[in-house]
Amino acid sequence: MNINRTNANLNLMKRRTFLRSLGLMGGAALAACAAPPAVPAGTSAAKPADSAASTAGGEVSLLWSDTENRRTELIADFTKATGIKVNQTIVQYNERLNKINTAVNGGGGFDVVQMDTIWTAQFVAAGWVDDLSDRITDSIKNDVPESSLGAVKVNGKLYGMPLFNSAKHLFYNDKLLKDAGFSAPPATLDEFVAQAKATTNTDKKQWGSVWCWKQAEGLICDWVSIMFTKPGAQILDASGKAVFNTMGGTEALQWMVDMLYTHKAADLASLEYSETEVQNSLYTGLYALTYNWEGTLPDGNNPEKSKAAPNIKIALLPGSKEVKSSSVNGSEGWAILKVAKNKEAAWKLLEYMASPAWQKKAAIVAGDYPISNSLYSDPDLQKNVQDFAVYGEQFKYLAVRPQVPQYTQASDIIQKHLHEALLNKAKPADAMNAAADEVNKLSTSP
Amino acid sequence: MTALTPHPSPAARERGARKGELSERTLGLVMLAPMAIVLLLVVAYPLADSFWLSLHRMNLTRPEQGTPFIGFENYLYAFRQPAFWYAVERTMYFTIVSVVLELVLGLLFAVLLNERFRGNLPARLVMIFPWALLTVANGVLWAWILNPTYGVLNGILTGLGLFSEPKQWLSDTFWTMNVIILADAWKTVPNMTLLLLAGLQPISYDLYEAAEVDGASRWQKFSRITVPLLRPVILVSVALRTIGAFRVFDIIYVLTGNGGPADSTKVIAFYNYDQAFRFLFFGYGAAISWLITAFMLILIVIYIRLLRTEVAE
Repeated sequence: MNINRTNANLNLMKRRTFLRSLGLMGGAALAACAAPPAVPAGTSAAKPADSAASTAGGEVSLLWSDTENRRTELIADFTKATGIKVNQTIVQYNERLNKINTAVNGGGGFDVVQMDTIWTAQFVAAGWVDDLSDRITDSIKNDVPESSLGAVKVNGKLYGMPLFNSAKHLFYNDKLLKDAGFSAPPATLDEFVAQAKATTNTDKKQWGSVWCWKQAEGLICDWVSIMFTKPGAQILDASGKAVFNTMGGTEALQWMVDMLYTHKAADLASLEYSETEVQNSLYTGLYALTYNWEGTLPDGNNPEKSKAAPNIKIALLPGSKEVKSSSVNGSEGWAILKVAKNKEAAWKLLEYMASPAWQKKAAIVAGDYPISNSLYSDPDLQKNVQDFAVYGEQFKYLAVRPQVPQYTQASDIIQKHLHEALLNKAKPADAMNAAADEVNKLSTSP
Repeated sequence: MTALTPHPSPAARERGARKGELSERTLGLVMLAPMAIVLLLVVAYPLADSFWLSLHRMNLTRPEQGTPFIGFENYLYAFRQPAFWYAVERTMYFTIVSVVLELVLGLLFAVLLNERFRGNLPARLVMIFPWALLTVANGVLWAWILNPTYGVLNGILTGLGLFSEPKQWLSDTFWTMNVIILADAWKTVPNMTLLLLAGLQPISYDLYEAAEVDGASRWQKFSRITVPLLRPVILVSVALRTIGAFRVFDIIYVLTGNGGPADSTKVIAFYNYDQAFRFLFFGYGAAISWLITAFMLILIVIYIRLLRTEVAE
């Protein structure tokens, strides 16, 4: 009986101890909820942005994608020049939109964010970013090409400072072209077909071309570049209606399908490749012609990283009889969030980023191409960057993807239909008509 | 005898606390309160809030619309969307094929590992390995295996002469979904195997020996003894895997990036992600989340009913 009673007491004690520990755990969890927000992952120079109100104006928080820390020096230069401390949060491109979304809806955290051209209209419509039209000086407006300003412009107003010039370029293997008897890279799409066919040799696993035609934004970029070789090509008309199906989009898609199946001059693996795989393929030395963003060089001619070294060269993307060249704008911008707490410091950072001090160094250390036209004739840059003048020239022939708030959705629809045709599941004309139809119905979304 | 039974009355239990201390019931409530508040804050509140959100139009790209209450319009809108039903169909395909595949393989491995043989323990340890991998890591691993140019799968198939040229596994509307199922099964079969193995262990060897004496074949032993006794465990593991498969997202994200080729792998979780986080339709996205929950609840109810029938039998 005693033993049983002791057991009962013990059970009671165990229950009490258990309940107490549970209470403690719960209390601790509650306390954790009330603690200051944790520093976001990947943050260097970690300090919550709003925790130092006393130093407001003396610091700024920045969200960007300098994932390889190539621009760390530039941030240090800015702090040295202005005394403003920069709290950086560095994330991959694909995570950035989510991060901005959370910051804005969660009440802040960042002052300046790196904004892709295709998000600008969406951010403006949502009221997330400040209008900077009055702050950006005329000297900047006059020295930056329209394509770069276009990346941050909606309805004539500027919602960001252009970050760098970015476009697709033709990166090619000069040796493979020479071996096939071509002394110059293709200047038109017809020449591109001829050279790609001549350099394809499947027995040697050698291909005339390889593309980033996976169902993703890169596919749209190539399609747009090809489409705008036709004079008067249009994606949306002035009223915002999708007209690409009758204004060049179908012919561009037909050309792409023909490259794969009629001319058999593009590796079928293109259908699951993005830009990175296209770059890696070029580095194998087995591919002749590729469309890609700047950044393919200088590594392409580094023998430690590329079997194609030193034969990779850059040229203007092909055009047609009527159009000299056609590429797509991939520029990005810096935006100041509406919820920013340190707006003055944020503006100082943007001004510094647009200055020659930042622009020149960024070109040399990180391969960011300057936004200022005047820097393309800079002797230092011409000396330090291979074929620097070609980049400057390409930025004159850029198509801009539509700056509309539903761009992400429209792009998704077009990607799907482009891919159906590229997989031979639909005829190009049918695919483009269906895509235009769906894009035009977008206004009825929830 | 009764007097000897140390079973304190509720009143005695209340008194059990020493003077100055709270009664056990009050103490229990007080101590549970913080945890209950935490759960309310992190589970119940977001759930209720997301349901409330699903009854509103909240489109972040159109702030001028405000967030009007629209009742069940988001749900009805989903039912009118061919893309929604297409995503449901793709999800069902993924769920059914992967659960059947995992069950068959899991059963096979469990029966094998239940046999006494040298190296049984190392075999079990090796078996767990894929399960310990992160899904994203598994996705990256399979991306390399399936790479059309450098992938080991094409290497083997062309090396053996089965294929004359490399196959583009991730740009084929039929094959992409199926190779993703295979990649997912590689990771989840060990989990299924372990659950089934645990179910096999209590089945007495005497039953098999008795069956052998009666002249039963291997297949008869498996179908007449193993499967019937294992049915409750099979049901539970199938239920768990169904729920897991229905929510699939990460491996598809890693292997295709966008639910391609031509949307053939755009399952319902992917559709939900697009609507809420890429297109910023928060109200509609919340409604889709609740529809996914509803689909899963229906499946769970069906499984529970099946299990109850099983227990009743």
